[in-house]
Amino acid sequence: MLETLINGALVGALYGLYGLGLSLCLGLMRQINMAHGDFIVFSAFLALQVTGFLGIHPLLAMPLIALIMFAVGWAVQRLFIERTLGRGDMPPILVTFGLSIILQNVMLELFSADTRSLDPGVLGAAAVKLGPVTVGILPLLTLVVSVGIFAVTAKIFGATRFGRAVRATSDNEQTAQLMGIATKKVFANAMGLALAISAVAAIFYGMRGTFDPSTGPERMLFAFEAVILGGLGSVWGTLFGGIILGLSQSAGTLIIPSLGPLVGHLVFLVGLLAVPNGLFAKRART
Amino acid sequence: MNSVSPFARSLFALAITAAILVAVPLVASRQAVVLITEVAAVLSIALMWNLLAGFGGIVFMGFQVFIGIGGYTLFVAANSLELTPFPLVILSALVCATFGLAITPVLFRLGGAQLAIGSWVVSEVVRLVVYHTNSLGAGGGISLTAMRGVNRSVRILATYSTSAIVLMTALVLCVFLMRGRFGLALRAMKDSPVAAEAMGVPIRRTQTYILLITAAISGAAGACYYMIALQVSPTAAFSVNWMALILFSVILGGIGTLEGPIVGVVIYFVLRETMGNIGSLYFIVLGILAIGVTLFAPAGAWGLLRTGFKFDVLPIRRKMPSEINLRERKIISEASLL
Repeated sequence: MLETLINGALVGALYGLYGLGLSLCLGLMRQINMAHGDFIVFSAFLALQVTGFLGIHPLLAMPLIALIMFAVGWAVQRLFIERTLGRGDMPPILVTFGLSIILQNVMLELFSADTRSLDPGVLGAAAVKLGPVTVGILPLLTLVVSVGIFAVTAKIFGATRFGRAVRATSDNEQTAQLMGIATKKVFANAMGLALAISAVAAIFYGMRGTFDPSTGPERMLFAFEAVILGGLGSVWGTLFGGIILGLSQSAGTLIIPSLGPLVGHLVFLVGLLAVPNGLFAKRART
Repeated sequence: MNSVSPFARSLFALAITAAILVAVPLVASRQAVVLITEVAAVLSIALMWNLLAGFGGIVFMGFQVFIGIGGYTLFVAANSLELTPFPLVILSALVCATFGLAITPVLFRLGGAQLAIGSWVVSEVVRLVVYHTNSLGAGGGISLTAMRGVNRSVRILATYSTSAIVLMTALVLCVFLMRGRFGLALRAMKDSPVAAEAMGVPIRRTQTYILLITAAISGAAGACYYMIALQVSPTAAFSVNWMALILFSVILGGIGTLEGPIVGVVIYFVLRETMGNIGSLYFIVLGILAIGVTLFAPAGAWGLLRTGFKFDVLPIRRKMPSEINLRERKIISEASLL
């Protein structure tokens, strides 16, 4: 049982990583991306193609996939999302939901509805004994990489010119422009970063579980729950939100194996009612 | 055209629609009647989502939840009580409205764009609960055994009538609500909740009412839809494809107008019936069209038509009172000069 919960927490680190990209969108850029989960699944398919074609380990393909997804994010922001900003809540939701449906069906056409996974090689079976429990190397690696990416992201958005520019733009675009910030390019880079992070998450997802073109929306819901549980606008909060979600899901699987996601959703709803601003919410800036 | 008051014109359009709906089973083939039953159910749902999101600004992206609950309610009630299913759409409506009320605390914690995903989570929860409940048929779903004793042509006609009544209710509700104080409050709230509240619009109550109304009608329409199918399963009833269908028809037709969803649903069915069953390619085309329309022609097909005709079939537009006053004053002052 302890082992299940520890594994749940480690899966939670992956959910946190799903959430980080969405957290940048929702919390820092204050825009929505309903296709977030589909971009994750798309990255996983991309990794499958690249590893198959080059015959390399998924982890080695990671930089390339992240780079490609950065470009995709940049283009999506410039071509679609940017044109909807300042027109209310509805247009960004409609456009990104449209993208989500298109992506799902394009993947269905290209890769069929078969369930796939990325081959983790020797990493798949490797495990270490930590006291009374055995923990897989791959889940541990996911945690380490997640924490590393969270640290870098928190640094980027907390302490660099670029991070300040993003926050300034989402606070007040016109004033940011007056201060000499190329707001549209800044947002395009931030969106690129969000999808590059999602690509890293996608490769761990593909190595640890199975994916098919229809699994995107569920990833998006997990990501969203991690963001909201952790507190909107807090980067580290998303990691803890993800871990809470992972723990809840593994607790659910202890009751009935297929009940994990439902228990996760319910914990999210209860959390939303009990702590509306999330666990690590920053006080609203005025 | 100006000699007829806009309200009379709306009533006239509603009367014609009702007349057409009455005439359909008399002249159309059985196959056409079944198709129109489906169109009526889908159109009712699209009208309701448009009322909620397009007019009320509550972008509820888990709207399939009401379709599923409506369908399941009717199936379970009719099967277990061994009743004629048709009048039970009222029960579906009531259950959906109650469910709508129950989720408001969660829903209205999340504003704007977050509500979109939050409502999706709610829909997933219901789907998973149904999926794991054996008495609801679990993953396999249930069939409408209560319909077994009913003669086929009676069944088709009665399902059609129920669906047509739901559609007329939806249309009448749209016109009356949007022409009245409530519609004004709704649109004010969408444009600026703060300003609307300052003008005395009770935001939370207005939002709750519109959610309950749209949930009820969509539940009834969902029940009608699954009465045609005779079979309901969690994967299909709570599918995100429902949301894609609703969203694409409302966007293509023109979001935030009453005529828009009607045009959109007609476009959707014409495309579906002519393009045949090409599955995923069809959704890709619809998605591209919807994005194109949102970015470049936000008023949709009806908006484009309207710029040509300058004519509303179901007029709900209002003139600013000051504008009318100014014009009257100008006429008076001109008259006094003469």
